Amino acid sequence: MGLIGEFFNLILIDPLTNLFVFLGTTTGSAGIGVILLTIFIRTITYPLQRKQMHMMRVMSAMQPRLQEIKKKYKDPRRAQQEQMKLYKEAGVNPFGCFSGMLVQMPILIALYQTFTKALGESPESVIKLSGRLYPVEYLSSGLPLNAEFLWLHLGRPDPFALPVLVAMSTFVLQKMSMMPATDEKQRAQNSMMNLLMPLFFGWITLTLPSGLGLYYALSNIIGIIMQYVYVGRGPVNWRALVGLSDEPVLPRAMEMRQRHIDDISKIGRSEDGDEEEEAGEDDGGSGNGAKRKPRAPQPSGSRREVNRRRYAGGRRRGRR
Amino acid sequence: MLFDRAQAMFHVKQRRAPALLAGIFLLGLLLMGCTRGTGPHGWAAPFETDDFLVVATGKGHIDGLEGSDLDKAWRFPNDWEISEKAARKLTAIYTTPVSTTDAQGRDVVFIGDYNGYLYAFRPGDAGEGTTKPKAASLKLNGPVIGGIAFDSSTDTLYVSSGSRIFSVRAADMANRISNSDDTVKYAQLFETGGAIWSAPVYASGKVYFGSLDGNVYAVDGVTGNELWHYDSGHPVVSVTLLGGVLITSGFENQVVALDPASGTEKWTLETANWVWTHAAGDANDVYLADFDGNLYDVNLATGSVRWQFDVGHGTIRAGPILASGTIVVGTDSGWLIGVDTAGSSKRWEKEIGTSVQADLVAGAGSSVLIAPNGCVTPEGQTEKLYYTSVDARTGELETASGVC
Repeated sequence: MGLIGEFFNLILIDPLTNLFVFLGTTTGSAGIGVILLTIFIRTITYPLQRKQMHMMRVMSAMQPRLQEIKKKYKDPRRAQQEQMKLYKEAGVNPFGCFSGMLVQMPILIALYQTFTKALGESPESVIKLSGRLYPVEYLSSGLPLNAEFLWLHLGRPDPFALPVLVAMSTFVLQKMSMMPATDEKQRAQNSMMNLLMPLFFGWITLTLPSGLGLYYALSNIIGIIMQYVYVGRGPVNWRALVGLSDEPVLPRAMEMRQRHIDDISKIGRSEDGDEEEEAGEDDGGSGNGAKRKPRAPQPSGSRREVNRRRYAGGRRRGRR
Repeated sequence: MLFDRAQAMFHVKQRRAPALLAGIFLLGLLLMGCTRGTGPHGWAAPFETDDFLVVATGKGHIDGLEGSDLDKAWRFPNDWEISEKAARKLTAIYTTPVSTTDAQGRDVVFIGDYNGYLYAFRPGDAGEGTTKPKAASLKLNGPVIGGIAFDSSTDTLYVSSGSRIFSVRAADMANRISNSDDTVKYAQLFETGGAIWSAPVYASGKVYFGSLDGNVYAVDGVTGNELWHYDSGHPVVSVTLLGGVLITSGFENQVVALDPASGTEKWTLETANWVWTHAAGDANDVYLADFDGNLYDVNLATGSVRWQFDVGHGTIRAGPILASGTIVVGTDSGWLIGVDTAGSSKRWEKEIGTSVQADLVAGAGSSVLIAPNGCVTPEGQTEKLYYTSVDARTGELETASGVC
C-alpha cells in the first residue's frame, strides 16, 4: 500500500498539487485556481469523455438487439457469445462506458488530497504541503493560498449552497445523458439513479472541502455543455428536465439514437440463416437447418469491417 | 480469446451496473477516508509550574503531571467547568502555557486555543471539592496559533489571535475564574495584513512578532503604535529574541537576524529549506533546524554557519535545545536525536513512534522535556505510553502515567 500510495503521489497528487499552487499563486486566488484546474482536467480528459458519451449512446441503441438475441437463444452462454459477437462487430467496447468514470475517480481522490493540503488553514497542513512542492521558489511565494472565494472558504465544507449546486448539476447532467428506458425495470433503475446520485454527491460535498465541491459543480456544468454540443444542440425539453415528462431532455438525442439503432439493426443480419440454424440447435436440434434458405454470397468480412469502422470512429460518420 | 473472455466477464457485470457504480463510489469514499486531510493538532511546548509539569498530551487538551512518577493529576478542559458553551471544546493548543500568581498567591495558567479563546484556570483547584472547578474564557479574533507573551511589570498578556495582537489584563482573567461575569480589560493592540503564527516576544516595553503578511513588527506594548516593521518578502512564522538579536524565519529558505531597536538587518542565512523552529542557544551560538532535517550552528554575531549536520529523519519543526553538552532534536517523523556540539556525529537516537513538533524545553539536570503528539505502543509491549522527557546524555526516555 505504501508503494502504491507513493506511486499515486508521484504521478497524480504531486503534479496536481503543484499545478494548483502555481495557478493559485499566479492568479492570487485559489478559487480561480480551482476553475482553471477544472478546465485543464476537463480538456486533457476530453477524448475519454467523448468516447464515453459515444459508447453510452451506442450501448443504449444496442439494447433492442441485445434483448432480441437474449430471447432467441435460451442457452445463456450462447446468448452471451452472440451478444459479444454483436459488440465486436459494432466495434463497441462495453468497458468504454466506464472509462471516463474510472479516470475521474482517481482524479477526484487526488484533488481531494490536493485541496486538503493546499487549502488547509492549519500550520500542519502547510508543513505537509511544503513537502509536496517541487523545489521552485515561485511556488512557495504565494503560500498560504488565498482560500476565500465568493462566499466560500475553499478549505472548509460549505453547508448549503454548494451541495445544492452539486446535486442540481449532477441531476441535470444525468437527465441529459440518460436515454428513455426501454422497459419498466430500466425505468425504475433510471429513476432511482437520477435521485440517488445527486443526493449522494450533494451529501459528500457537505463533508468535503468546498474547493472539491466547486470543482465538481464546474465539472458538471462543463459536462452539461459537452452533452448538449455532442447531440448537435437543438431544443431542450424543460418539462423532461424537471421530471414532468419521460421524454428525453434533448430531443436530438432520440434522432441520434434512432440512427444508431438503424445502423446496429443491419449488423449481422446477413448471418440470420446461421443464427436461425443455431437457434434451432439450441431448441433441441429439430432439423430446422434443412429448411434454411441458401445464403447470398457476401464479400467475406467486408460488411463487418464497414460497421466496425463506423462505430469505432464515434460520430465521424453518424453526424449530419 | 482473452478479449472475448474479458468481454464476457464484463458483460455479466454490466447487468449489475448500479452495484458496480456503488462499489466504485464506496471505494472512493474509503480512499478519501483513509487519506484524511491534515487538521490542526497543536504543538504547545511543555511547561513547568511549581507543582506540575503541564503538557499538551493530545489534541485539544493539556494534562497536569505531578510527582516523580509524573502521574496525571488533572486534564484541561475536561476537569474544569467553563461557563461559555462555545468555549468548552478546545481544538488545538499551539501556545506554550503561561503562568502567573493571583492576589491570593495561587498559580494561574493561561493558554490560547485554535478555537479563538484565551483561557485561565488554577491547576491547584483540580480535585478540590465535589464539583468541577471553574475556568475563565475570553473570545478573541481568530485562532490563537502564535502564542502568549507576559509582561509581569504591567500584568499584561500579549496574545496573537487571527491577524491581531491583543493585550489582556491577566488579573482580570484570574478574577473571571471565580465570577464569569467579571469584566476583563483587553484591547486590540495591532492588526496585520495576515494571520499571526509566530509567538509574540515581549522585551523592554515592545512586542515583536511576525505575520503571514511577510512583515516582522515591533509595536509599543501600551499604545500599540508601530515602532518599525521589516518586510521580509515572505510569511514569517518564527521570531526569537536571543542575545539581543531578533532571529526571524518562515516560508523561505533563509533566516534573517534583525536589530530589535531599529528593525535593520544584521545578517541573513541561506538554508536548505524553510525554518520554523525557534532559535535556541546562547550569546555565541544559535541552533536552528530546517524542513530538510538539517541542524545549523550559527554564529549569532555574524550569521556565519559554524557547522551544518543532516540529522537524517526529515522535517524538523520542534525547536532544538542544548542540554548537558548535547543538542537534542525532535522530528516530525517521530525521532529524538542527540547531536554533539561539534556537529560531527549523533550521540544517540531514539524512535518514539509519534511526531515531535512542540519545542523541546530544558528540564532539571540533563533532562529535556518533550511533548510528542500522542501516546504510542512500543514494539513488543501492549501498554500505551506517553513520553515526557529524554536524557540529553543517554537518550533514555521517561514516561507519564495515567495519560493514555
